[in-house]
Amino acid sequence: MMYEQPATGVGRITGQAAVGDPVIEADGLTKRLGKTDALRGVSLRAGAGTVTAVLGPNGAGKSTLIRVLSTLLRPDSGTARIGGYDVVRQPRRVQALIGLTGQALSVDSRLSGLQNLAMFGRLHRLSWPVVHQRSAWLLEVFGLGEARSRPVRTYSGGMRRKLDLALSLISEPPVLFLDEPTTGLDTAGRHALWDTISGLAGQGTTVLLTTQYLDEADALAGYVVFIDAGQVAATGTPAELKQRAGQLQLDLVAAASADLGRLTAALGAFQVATDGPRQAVRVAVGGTGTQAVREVRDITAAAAQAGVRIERLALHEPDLDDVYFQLTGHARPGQTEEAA
Amino acid sequence: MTAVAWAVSDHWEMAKRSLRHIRNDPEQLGNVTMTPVLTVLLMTFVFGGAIKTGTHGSYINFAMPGIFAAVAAFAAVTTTIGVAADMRQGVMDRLRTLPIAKSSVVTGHVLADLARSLIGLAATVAVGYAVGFRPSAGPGGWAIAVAMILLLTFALSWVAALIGVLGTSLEVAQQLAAIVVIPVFLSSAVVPTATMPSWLRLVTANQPITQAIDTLRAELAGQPPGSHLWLALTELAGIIVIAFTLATALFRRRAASA
Repeated sequence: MMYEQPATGVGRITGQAAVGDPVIEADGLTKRLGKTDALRGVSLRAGAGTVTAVLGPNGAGKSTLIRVLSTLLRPDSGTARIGGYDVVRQPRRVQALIGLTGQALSVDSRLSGLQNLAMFGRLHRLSWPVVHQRSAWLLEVFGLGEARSRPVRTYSGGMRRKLDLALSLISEPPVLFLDEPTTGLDTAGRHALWDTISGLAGQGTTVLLTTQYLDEADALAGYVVFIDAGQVAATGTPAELKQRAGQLQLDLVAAASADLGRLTAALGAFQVATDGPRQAVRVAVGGTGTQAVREVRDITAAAAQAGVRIERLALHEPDLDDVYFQLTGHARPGQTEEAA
Repeated sequence: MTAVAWAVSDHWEMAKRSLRHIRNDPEQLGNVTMTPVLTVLLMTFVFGGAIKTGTHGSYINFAMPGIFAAVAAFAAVTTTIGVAADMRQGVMDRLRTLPIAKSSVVTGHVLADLARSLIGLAATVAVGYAVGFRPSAGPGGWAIAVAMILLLTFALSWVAALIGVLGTSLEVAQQLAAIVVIPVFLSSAVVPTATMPSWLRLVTANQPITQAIDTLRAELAGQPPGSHLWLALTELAGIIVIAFTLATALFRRRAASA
């Protein structure tokens, strides 16, 4: 999917500050829900027309953050401003600027798709001609034209998701909050939604979305905020974060356990980690580009010279998954801890 | 449009929503039509022969105003369930992020109850006529009677809304909804209060539903309602003010902490 980050992308240059006035600003937000500290001092900034992804494991505080920013929850401390308006003191002003698609489906299942759009359009104080025009357009865009007059309870899960998002867009809000927007969508639906979100950002909509899918953040967001246990663990562009996750790595899997020791010895000149159970050696590849190619050549040459039988080799480029597992301290599924 | 016009529009949109629920889900009218109709038949053919009500002629003429009050109560119960369901569904999140008066969410259900009540009333009157209900009221008496039923519906709906807000779950709210219906039977609805023990009569003869029913009974019989009309109006107005204030205030608070 083609996606062009708008030129004013947040953090492109400094890695934290927005270019121009930030549309979404949060400072030191805390929120206690029952016995857990759902938010423990979260701050973030997002500039106009940017897509920011809030990533984190279940229970990290992603939804709580969205609920505070969209005026649904009052923070215990800290401040948040949307378009310059305080979410606690000027909720009506904020509400006029935002659209929200929450995790729970926010559609009236006993109304038809069109009735939902008309109702929320009117409640957003749009004139009837505008409501009709935008409803027709949104039903078209989300492929719900056929089902427009059917009660929503007859819709499939994916159709409900799409209607939910369409309802958030009826007022053409300059700021859009999406809490795990592609949950429950099939692959085609996800990609269609990504295109829609990118298109909206291209037209100047500021999007803040939460997701558990790292590829989603990679594909959509110009800026990623990792949160874990109610705190910001890392922020940056996907490229910056991947860089932080480490270097290019070459995995060499030995054919037998006897070969593993010799392989490790042969690669002594390199930065090596041995993974006994997998009979593998992971070698850090220094540098980038041509330099990396040379280094890979040297590593494979050294392995070949030692006469070690290699079953297979794989080049591993760091991705957001590495950042995710590194930051959250969770073991990566299917990968044992490496004895460095 | 002005702010006031938009506020009216908000309430109308929310009422329309609840009315559309009736159209898309006509089975929800079962409560407000089937129950009173069955009650009419029960009162006429099962109990009617055994109950002597004195000056009212046939028992059905006595019982109908009481059954109308039951229609109002059954219509109101829908609001309990509607409000309780709204508070627990995702749609509430969207409504809460709209720059509207949040109380319009509750008011919408209450206003739609008036339509449910009228539908139930029409069904009940039709069946009543079929089994011998013959009120002697003229158009004026009928107008006052219908207005009284709508006022009673409105008052009971706000009580129902309050119960819907207070219920800790949909099931609890549904069970508590009986609180709206029970007072109908602790009134002059199906038997004259004079037949009850004096300690009970103290409540049943003076409570607002009895005042409303006695007003209906007099109007439909073509007689002046006397003090019943004014007592009904003031007592019901009191209930509306209290239940409205509590329901909307609690709704705002509960919805905010959800």
